[in-house]
Amino acid sequence: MHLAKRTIPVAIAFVCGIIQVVDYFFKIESVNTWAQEIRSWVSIVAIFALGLGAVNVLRVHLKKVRQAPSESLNSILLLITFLVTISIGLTAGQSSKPYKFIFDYIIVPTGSAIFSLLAFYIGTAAYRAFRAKNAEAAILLVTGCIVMLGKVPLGEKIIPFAPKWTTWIMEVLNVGGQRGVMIAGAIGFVAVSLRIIIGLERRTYGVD
Amino acid sequence: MNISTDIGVWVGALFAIAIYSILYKDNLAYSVVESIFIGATTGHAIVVGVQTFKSTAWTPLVGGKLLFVVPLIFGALLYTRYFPSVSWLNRWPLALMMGTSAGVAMRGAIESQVVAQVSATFVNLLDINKFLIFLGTVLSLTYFFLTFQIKGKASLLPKIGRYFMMAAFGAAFGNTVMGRISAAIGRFQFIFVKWLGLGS
Amino acid sequence: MTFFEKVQNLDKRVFYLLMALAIAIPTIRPIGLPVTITSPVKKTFDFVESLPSGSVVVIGFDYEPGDEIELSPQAKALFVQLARKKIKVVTISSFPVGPMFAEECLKVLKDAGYQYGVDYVNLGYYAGGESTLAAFAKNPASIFSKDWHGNDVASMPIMKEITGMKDFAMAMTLNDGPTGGTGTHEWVRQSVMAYGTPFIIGCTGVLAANNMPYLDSGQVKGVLSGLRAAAEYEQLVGKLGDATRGMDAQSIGHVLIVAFVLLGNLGMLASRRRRSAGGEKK
Repeated sequence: MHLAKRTIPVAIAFVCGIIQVVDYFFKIESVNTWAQEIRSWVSIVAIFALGLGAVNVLRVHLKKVRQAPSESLNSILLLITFLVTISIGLTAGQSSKPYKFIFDYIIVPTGSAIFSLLAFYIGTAAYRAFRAKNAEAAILLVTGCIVMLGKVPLGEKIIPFAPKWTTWIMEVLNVGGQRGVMIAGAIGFVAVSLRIIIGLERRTYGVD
Repeated sequence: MNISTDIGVWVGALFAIAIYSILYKDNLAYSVVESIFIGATTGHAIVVGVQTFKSTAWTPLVGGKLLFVVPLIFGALLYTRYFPSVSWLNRWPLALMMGTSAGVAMRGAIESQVVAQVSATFVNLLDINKFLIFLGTVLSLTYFFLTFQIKGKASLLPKIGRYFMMAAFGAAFGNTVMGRISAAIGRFQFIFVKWLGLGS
Repeated sequence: MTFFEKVQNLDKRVFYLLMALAIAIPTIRPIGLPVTITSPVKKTFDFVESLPSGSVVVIGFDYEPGDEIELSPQAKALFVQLARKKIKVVTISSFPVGPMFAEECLKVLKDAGYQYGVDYVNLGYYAGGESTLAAFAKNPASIFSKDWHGNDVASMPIMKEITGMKDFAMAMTLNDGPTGGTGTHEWVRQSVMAYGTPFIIGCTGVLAANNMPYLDSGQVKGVLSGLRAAAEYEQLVGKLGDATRGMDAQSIGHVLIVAFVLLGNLGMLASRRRRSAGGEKK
């Protein structure tokens, strides 16, 4: 069982990873073909992964309904909406009027309203937490405020140089700082990827 | 004022208002709409998943691409996680995805996020802005230098690097505010203009 | 207790209300402040303008409902320009909701007389992020045998011209980040670095700052960030839409947040001064 539980997953990750790396740098027809084949496989396995989320949501809410049906209004509504969406989507299709209704008037408005709550939270966060307590925080605050003003027409009316400074901050100071973060992050990212491929980071696929 | 007569617009607007009601306090309307949203979104993911499955896997398979049996079996193995006695089998498809993703990402990352960025940093250093970019990049990198502790006067280098990063994060914050407010603008346009018929 | 200190103890719902008013009032009564064109947007516009007529571009709709207001106006404005230049369009998406957004934006091309399957196609959703994008870049047919409407892709005239990423005159992603989909770094790796395909980024404001190094290094030909860039693009193509309408609310919202920040800092200074004055007295 050790072979099936530990060795095979490590071998799969190693072979799949190495093939992708070799494929990029060398023109070896058999490797190139298999690398592409494996990438297609990933796209198929990932479709199955989509269903995992749905199964988890269903399990949680079905359990709630079974345990206390009278207190599970939200779970019942969730399950009904889930089933209605699937039924319409699979029978009438995504271009159908009822399905477009669900997408245009439930998924999009509600999803964007939930996300837009952050506009309000960021306002109070800016007020309560965005303080110039030291040099670093002061730099963050000043550049943040200039960019906020420089990005909108009214900001330009209040501080005429704001757009010019914003462009300079974005294209010079920001590029310098972000590039350092990008390079350092990429080096770390490559190191982790390598550890996954050679089997040192086995937890990512469930092996202890 | 020209209120919309479209039932869909009414639903969308009322759902958005129910979501905003959480700003006042937690309430039933918010949680009901949130549940409906999760149900619809999860359902949509399944509908799209089935359609994508047909396009990416099923059509080629029945068209003669028998090798696709392998990912189909691996995909099914993902669901062994719900059966404790064989749950270890879901490691195989996860290893396939993780190994491939790591290989694909790693091969391009060095070229695009390291080599190309370093090359672009050492260009036209007599130009003050290019020199500042060079300085910002190099000094920010010293902040991530963890092999040994930088002491004495040299410790000023990672400190200035941190200032550059703070300027970059400030710029990111300014842009983040823009993004968050835009999201609210979209909903407010829907409520006030499309639903209530006010304004433009 | 000074005014600034009193304000610090205000109920947060007062700030929510002020923010709501700051967005609602200009939405109902627009001021119409002019938007100036910035260099990243102009660069993007000029690059698209330089593409040969009749060429094919691929555009990734990699965003979710929360970012639709920032990215769909970018797509619509860009499609106006592409339609004028008779450039063909292939759309793909790494989020399940992406194809629906693509469909909505592609109406611009349909209205301009584009023929589905010949001049444009919505290939739909792909799962698997960067690995699948890499597979698509090598051979699109290996990922999409059917389009979003269920049509056979191989028989479409537009796809007969395309054997891989290298055949696209330009690639673009409309992107709200890598969580759950394909991010901008992944697109740069699989289009520019792997095949040398010219690439432009359309992203949310949140992602603007960390994509600027790509513009400086010349790896990408242009960056459009957020609603502001969409408003600028609408001006450049001469067709004002949702983005331009939203800029007044954006203005007031930003100024209000800056005011909040100033108020918070003045409150902090007032408290500090009071504390130090109290300390001196003792």
